[in-house]
This record gives sequence, structure tokens and C-alpha cells, in this order.
Amino acid sequence: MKQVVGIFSLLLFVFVATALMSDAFLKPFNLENLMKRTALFGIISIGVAFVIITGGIDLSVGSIICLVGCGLPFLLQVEYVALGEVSVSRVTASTGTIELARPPNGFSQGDRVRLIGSATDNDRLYRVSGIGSTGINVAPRPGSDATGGRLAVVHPVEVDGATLVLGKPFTDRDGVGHRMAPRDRLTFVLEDGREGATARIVSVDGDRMGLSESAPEQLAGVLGLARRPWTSVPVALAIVLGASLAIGLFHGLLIARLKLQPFVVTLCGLLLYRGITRGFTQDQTQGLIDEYPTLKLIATAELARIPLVWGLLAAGGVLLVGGSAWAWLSRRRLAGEGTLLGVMAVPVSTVLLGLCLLVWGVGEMPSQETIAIEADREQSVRVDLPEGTSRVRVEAAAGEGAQWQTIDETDVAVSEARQELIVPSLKTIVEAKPGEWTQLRVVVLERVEPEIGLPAPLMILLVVGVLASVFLNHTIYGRYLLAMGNNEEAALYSGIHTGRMIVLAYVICAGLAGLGGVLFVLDINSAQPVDFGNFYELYAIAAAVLGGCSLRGGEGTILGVVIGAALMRVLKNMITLVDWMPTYIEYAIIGAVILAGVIVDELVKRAAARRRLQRIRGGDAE
Amino acid sequence: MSEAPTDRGAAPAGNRVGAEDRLLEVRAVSKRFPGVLALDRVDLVLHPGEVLAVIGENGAGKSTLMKILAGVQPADAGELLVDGQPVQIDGVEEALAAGIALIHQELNLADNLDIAANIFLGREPRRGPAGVLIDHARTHGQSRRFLDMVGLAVDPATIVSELTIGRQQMVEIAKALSVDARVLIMDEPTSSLSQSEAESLFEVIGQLRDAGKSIVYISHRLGEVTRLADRVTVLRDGANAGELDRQEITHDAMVQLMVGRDIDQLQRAANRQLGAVVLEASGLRSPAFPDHRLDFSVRAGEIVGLAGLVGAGRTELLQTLFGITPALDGQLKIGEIPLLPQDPRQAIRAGMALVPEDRKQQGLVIEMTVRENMSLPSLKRDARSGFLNRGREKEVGDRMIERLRVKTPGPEQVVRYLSGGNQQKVVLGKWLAMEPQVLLMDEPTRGIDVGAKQEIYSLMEELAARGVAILFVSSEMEEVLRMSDRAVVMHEGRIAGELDREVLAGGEGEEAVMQLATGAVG
Repeated sequence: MKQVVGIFSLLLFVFVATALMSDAFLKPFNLENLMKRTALFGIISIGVAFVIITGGIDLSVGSIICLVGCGLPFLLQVEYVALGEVSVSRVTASTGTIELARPPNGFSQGDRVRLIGSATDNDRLYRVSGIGSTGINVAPRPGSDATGGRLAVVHPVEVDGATLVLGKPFTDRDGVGHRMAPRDRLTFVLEDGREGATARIVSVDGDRMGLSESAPEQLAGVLGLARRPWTSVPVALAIVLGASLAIGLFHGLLIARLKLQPFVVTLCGLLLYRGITRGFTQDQTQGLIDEYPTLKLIATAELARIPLVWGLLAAGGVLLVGGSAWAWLSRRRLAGEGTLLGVMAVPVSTVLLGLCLLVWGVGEMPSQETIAIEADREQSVRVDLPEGTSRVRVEAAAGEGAQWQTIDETDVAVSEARQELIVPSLKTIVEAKPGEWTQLRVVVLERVEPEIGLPAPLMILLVVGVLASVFLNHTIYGRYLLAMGNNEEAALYSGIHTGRMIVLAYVICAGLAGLGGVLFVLDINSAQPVDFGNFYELYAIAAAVLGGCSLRGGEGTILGVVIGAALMRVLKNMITLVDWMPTYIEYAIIGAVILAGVIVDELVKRAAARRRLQRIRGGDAE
Repeated sequence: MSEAPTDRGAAPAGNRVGAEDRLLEVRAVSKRFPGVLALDRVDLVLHPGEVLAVIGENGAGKSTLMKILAGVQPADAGELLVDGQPVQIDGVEEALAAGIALIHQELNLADNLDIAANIFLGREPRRGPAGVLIDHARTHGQSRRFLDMVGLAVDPATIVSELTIGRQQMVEIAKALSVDARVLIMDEPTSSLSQSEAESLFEVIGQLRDAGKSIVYISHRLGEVTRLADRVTVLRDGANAGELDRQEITHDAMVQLMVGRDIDQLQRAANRQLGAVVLEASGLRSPAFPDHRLDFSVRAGEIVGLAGLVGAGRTELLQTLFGITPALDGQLKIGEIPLLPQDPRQAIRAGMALVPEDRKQQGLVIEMTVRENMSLPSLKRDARSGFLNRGREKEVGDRMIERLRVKTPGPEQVVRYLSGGNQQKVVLGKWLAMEPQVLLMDEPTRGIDVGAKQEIYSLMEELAARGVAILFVSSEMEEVLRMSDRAVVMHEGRIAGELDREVLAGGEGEEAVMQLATGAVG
């Protein structure tokens, strides 16, 4: 607990300071994003902490994230294969015959077809008038002879409201039947033969298909596109996560067995994995576009949505009560060895943050608001509405103190941006509702409460954090890790398999980096091999160090590391949001804060060691 | 009263040179480490051109005193006078400026650099504009002069790592001469030297004395002291125990002052009942000395001392037995099990435990608590499917603290803050929790104050009485003579001989051990 005291105070301080300096900070969208980023960086920082606890370092984390982040979309790439298409050998205009590369299975009399990529008469629809053994006859006759190209059946459909009903089943290029599935696509073909938009199939119910786009007018039929992913989701996940675990094993063995220095091994890893990624992706951006919506939920889902007010009030209340209890419990240490700053800093700042959140929460409470307007005879007036306003009433009165009369009640579109209402001039109002109106006001009738969602990665962080913490503090292997980090030789002499523990730490680190890579790419949706995950290892190392891990090894708590990661994110957020802080000095501010944190930590530690020593010496003298 | 150099009347009679001159004087210097009063108002006088031997048992405070003189550590109280003037020595720089140089026990040379570079490290003669370049010609020329003074005829351009330990020591002395040191402090200079190297060192010491340098000579080897010293100052338990002038220096007189009691009183009460052989090595070859095959055995309830000079291969033997540097070949039987441990885990499983030589580096995780250290080897045994058994862990800690009378505020104290003796008890405690049948101990009482030493001795005896076989390495003759049922003496990697209780307890025990240890017989 002691190790996280300083960093926790710092986090609270930066949090409150940012909230005071920027209105946007406590907006639900910002807080959600902050939580999500904290969770993602927290996960990779925990991994790095394990390595740092052994006295090692892992510089390859960012590159592993890049490898996984680009590798996953690369493996999950999707191709769309045209259905109901056949290669054309020859088009004879005079007879209206189209000879095909394979027997014309799947074509039937009366089907409408479309020539694609043939030199002649693209964008025209034909009707099958006869079927031979090697080709078909079409009407009307094509304009000229041609060779090559493809012939596609334009599948007839019926539009039934939002859904389409297929009139003829699809076959693939070999003439084998294909059942359309969600995420396959349809290209609309218009009566004049041109291709329209391509729509994604959202749902399939027998022959009825729900589409992402509504069908256009003048629809002749559809062309089918079957979705072909390179690999299935479980296989792709197994490959990328397996690869990151293998990388960890590789690092661990080089360090434990060959006794190479961790810095060197992982520095080479940093170069190696990014280089490999840029190689197999040919430096092209890898993205998931709109595919795999379910998979993306891992990173983008919301566990719960609660009104922001409740969130603020609840968090504030918990902090207030918790901090007070903490201060009460700490009071005896104050009389003993502790200093005021050392013992009370955290409880007091906890209480303060709780109070701040409560005040903000009360400020966000919905209320019926009345907005007075400077009424003008000729000009309309722009009125700023409170955030989330959904319904207002405009009222008017004939002179001061007179009865307010309703002029108009209207719904307002809710948006994240500033909300405005334009109130017409008095002249206009009098025209609409005659009266001697001199006063105007707007009454807010309904407001949509701002809500905040708890992002799913927060739950993943919670699970990873609890597991890591239990591992470190409640299993013998965690104890071995700490002992080994402190003194590898003494651990060896005590019968600990130190090599195995080193390997384990690097495997955990690379594995969590891999998990982080998956979550990052699912959240961001695309990854550029050049810079995806760039510098993330340094953020993770900084978070671990801020969280109380000593680079000499043997020290560190998981809670501290997570708080360290949160601090890094809040700092970055602060620099982005606070107007007078130029964003381009971001690194300077982060660097300075980390340095200050580490210096303070070291000074506090020294003071504690001195006090301790004095106590012991004092004890001896007695 | 004035202690100025002119104060002739205060000088004791009988000293050879300049007895009236007090080149260096130490007055009532005290130094406290956590848990130990290392120096308790110690006085010391050094005259110009004399060899003063400072002797005492391990932990008597010799090295601490020398470190204070050389500015490595500050004194808590007392004063230092050079040429009768009080001086404040807060660092090595200031000690050197006062003409005091320490030749470290562990040589302090940058062994990747050449001799000349080492001699002038930090004080290189410069040349070129603004003196940015090292004047190699001058560096080497001057180095040769200092090397001549210590009789070392090697090229100053030789890389230090290519020299033998003895020659490296000479370089170290040359380095001290190059800063014009008047007082050379030599801390166990012969501990890692061969006989002939030691001889040439003695010769150089004689020459330096004749050249007017003063030498403070620290050694355990009383033979050397008898031969070299003009005067002997004896420390015991951090305080002055007495002084011997040239004509008073005899082996017995020194031992008497060092031990503070007659050696005969140190005899152990009774012979123990010995059980079956539980550790038996035959033809064992350790990687450190692959040319020698070792045969020896230890019986249950027996305490066997492993004696010999530093570098004789005793620590290496223990490490081989414990699987840290696995044996090349040969046979080893632990209890009934034939096993050549390939790593410490195998040795521990077979019932062995090692209290290592370097307590802080190998014995303890210094930043962890007493409880965590004591439970480290037994965690796995007591774990429940990988999870810590905290109740059991706490119980082990509490039990061991009580049994070994570890002086600690509690089991949650970080061991760094314990005294050496209590730290050693923690090391013992962690192994006792494993209930070993063979206990290997490497210098079990090094750096421990006298009280704790006695406790460790009685603990060893108690364990032996319970049937634990103990094999311990000690460089303290008194310890070997007192504790061993049998002593195995090593010399340069081989077993030179064994001495049984009768010989050890007899008046000639020490001599017998020394003769074997120095390779004179056996």
C-alpha cells in the first residue's frame, strides 16, 4: 500500500487540476475514452512490470503490439468473390450466342444476365432465350462479337419494405449452390444495366434478406458477392497471441540461458518485430473496416451505461467516505513515526477529490431551467440551451410581472455540440399569436441526461489486474519473482529455479503486449505498420516506474502500475484539453512529471530508510 | 597535553627509528554499524619508517579502522592526527592528500587498462593544447620508476589482467607510492598470494621501510607478523587489547591478546555420538580444480572443519557439493542417495543446506523481511497448489526467530536493518526450517560480533547433537580448532590431510593445520 501512496496523490492532483482547467474533461465521451485508454495501457504496463520486477526490461512491447495489431487484421482480411458468374469464351453478335467456359448450369430460360469485362455492350441486360450445351442464346443480340469477359446472372428480387426476397438461389463460379449469409454483399443492378450501390446483408431469414442499404428505384436485380475471410477469428487470435507468447519465450530463453542482457535482446526485438510487420504487410495500413462487429465488441462494448450524475455522485461519495475512514485509521500513525504530509496526503486528497466530484455531480443535476431573453421587436434571438435539452417551451408576457403565456412548445435535437434555439422576433410572434408581448423567455421542459458508459476493456484490465496481483502476492512464484528481482544469486542459493522465473516474466509481458495489441487494433480499427504502438513500451515502462517498480528489480505492485498508467493517460488528456498548454510540448510535460514523481519517490524512500535506521540505532543504544 | 612532534619525553623507549615522531595518531575513534559497535574508542600510533602490524580476530575492527584512516568510511567519534596536527578525513582524496594510501584486500585496479594507466588513473600527465591529451610517454616513464621501487620488472604497457595477483598487488603499491604516500595500509596482502609472491612482497616491504615509509600491516598470519613487524597493536571486539614491541612479539603473546583468554579454555565439553556416514565424496572433481579428485566423508552428528588458506578451494568445494558449480565427475552420496547435484534444488531435495560465504549477496534477499527470507526455501514445500500458505509461513518465521533468538523488532523487519549476527541467524533459520541432514557452512561467523558467534557455535553443537552432519569452512584457526570433531585441510585444490579431535585439541593443533594448509606436509 505504501508504494502507491505518492503516485495516487499525484493522480488525484492532476485529475482535479485538469477538471478545473477544462470543461471538456468531465464530459462523458472524454471520461469513457480516458477509461478505455487507461485500461489498454494498464494491461501492457502490468506485463512490463513483471519484467521490471525481475530486474530486466522489455523494449519490444510496442513492436509486439504492432505485430499483433497489424497481424490480426492481416489474417482476418476479407475478400468478396462474385457469385453466379461464368467466364465467357466468345460472344457472337449475329446469332446472339454467348459461349461459356463451362456448361451453363445455373442458367435458366428467362434469366436476365449481364456481360462484364467483355469488349462489347457492358452495362446492358440480356434475357436468356435458349440454353445449349456449351453456351446460351440471349436476346436482344449483343452489338458486336467479342471474346473474353464474364457473364453474370442478375438475380431477380422482390423488394418488400426493408427486406429483399430472392427469386433465384445463387451459385458460385463452379456452379455449386451458395446460401447467402450475413455479411455477404449484394450489388444492385438497375434496369438500364448500370451497377448501383453495394449493400451488406444484415440478416438472412430463408430467402428474405435485410440489407444495410435500401434498394434503389428501377431495380432490375442483384449480383452476389460471397465473403471469404482468410482465416477464422479463433485461428487468427490463436496465431497472433501464440506468436506473442512465443516471442516472450524466445526473449526469456535468450536472457535466462544465454545470459544475454535484456536491454539488448528486447532492443533487437523492437527492431525485428516492427521490421517483420512492415515486411509482410508491405507497409500497407491494415484495417478491419466494418467487418467483425462482434469481435470488435471486446474493445468497444460498454458494460453499463449510467447517468453521468450518478456516476459522479457515487464515485464522489465512495471517495469521500473512504478517504475519511482512511484518514481516521491513519491518525495513530501520525502520533507515531509518520509525518503529516506522509500519512495524511492521500486520505486528504481522496476526500478532496470526493468533494469535487460531488460538487460537479450536483452541478450536473437536471433541473427545470428558465432562460430569460432580451426580446427584440425586429430581430430573432439566439439562445444557448443547456446540454442535452430535448424539449423547450417559448413563453411570452405582456409587460413585467404579467402572466406568462405559452407561445410554442417544440422538440430540440440533442447533440454533443453546443445546443442553440432561435427565438423569433416579437413582431413575428405577435403575428403568430396576437398580444401585447414585451417579455420572452424559454423554459427547458425536458433534458436528456448525459450518460457515461463503462468500456469493456476496463473489465479486462480488472481481470488481468486481479490475476496478476494474486499471482504476485499470493503464489510462491510471485514471491520467487520478487526475491529473484532483489537478489538473483540468493534466490538461486535458496533453491529457486531462477531461469524459469525469468522466462515466465518475459512470457507474461509479451503475452499481455499481444492482448494489448489485439485490443488496440479492435478499438482503433486500423493499424499502420510504421507507427502502430510506437513508444508504447516507454509509456508502459514509465507507468511501471511511476507505480513504484524499481528498475533494479524486486519491487512493485500491480495497483501502483495501473495507477501509473492512469496518470500517464490523464496527463496526456490534460495537455490535449487545457487550452493554454500547447500540445506540441506534450512529451516535455510528461517527461518532467515522471522525473518529478521518481525524484519525490526516491527522497521519500530515503527519508523512510533514515527514520528506520535511526529507530534501530536508538533501540540498540537503550 | 600536547602531542606535538617535539614532545620527545612521551616516546616509549625501544623503538627503532624516530620514536619521538608520531607520523599518524588515532585517538579514541569509535564507529557504530547497525547493531554492532565496530570500534570503541580505539587508539593507534604510527611512527615514521616502521612496520606496525594490526592484528585481531575477524570482526575485531581492523578493517573498519583502516577504512576510516583511508577515508573510505567516516568515524562517528574521535580524532586523527597527522604530524601532530588534527586532520579531518572525509574522503579518499583527503586521505591521499594526508599521505595515507590503502592497498585493498580486494584489489582495486581497472584490470582492462595497462599498468601505467592504473598508476596514474585520474592524475594522468597531460600534454597538447589545454592539456586535453594524455602524455603517454611521461606516464610510462614515470610508471617504470615506481615499478622499480617495488621491484617489478614488467613493461608499464602490460594490461593488468595479464598479471598474477601478486604482481597486481605490486602495481597497487606502486600506485600508492606514486601519490607520495607516507603511510601504506596493507589489508591482508598475502591472503591470495603464493609463497614466492609473498616472499617478494616481504622484501619490498623491507625496502619501503628502509626508505622511510610507514606500513600498517594487517594480517591473520602470525608467522608473517612475527617476521615483519616492528610493533604490534592488537584489537579485540572493537577495542584496544594491547601492544607488543619488537622484542615482545611472540606467537603466544599475540594469541593471548587476540583471544583474551587461554586457548585451552576453548576446548569443547565432550565428544559427540557419531552416526552413519551421510555425506560421502569419492573421486569428486570440481570445475575450479579439475586436476584433483577429492575423497572425504561426514557422519551424522559430526562437525567437520574445512581448513586451509584463502584460495585453497574450500568455498569451491562447498559450491560443488551444493550444485552451484556442478561436479565434473566422481561420486557423491547424500544419505543413502547417490547424487551429483546439478543445481541447488537437487541438493536441497536431497537434504543439504548451504550457509554461504557472502551473506548479503548469496544468503539473503536483503530488501525482504525476516519472515520472507526464512520461508524462501520452504515455500514450495508448504504451498497449497502454488498458493502461499501464509499461516505456515508466519509460523516458521516466528518459530525460528524464537529458536535462534534473532534480535529483530518482528518478523516483518527488513533484514537489511539487522546486525550481521542476526542476519546470519536468519540464514540459518531459513535452512533449519528445511530440516537438513547435511549442513554446509562457509565462514559461518565472518563479520559477526562475539556474542552472536557464541550463539552460532552452540547452535552448531545443538544441531550436531541432533544428528545433523555439519561441514564448515573457516579461516579462523580458533574456530576450526574449537568446533571441529575432525578437520579436513585443503591446499591448492586438493585435500592435504585430515586431523582428528586429539590432534586438534592438543597443543600442536594449530601448527598441524598450518603445515597442511601451507603444503609443508601432506
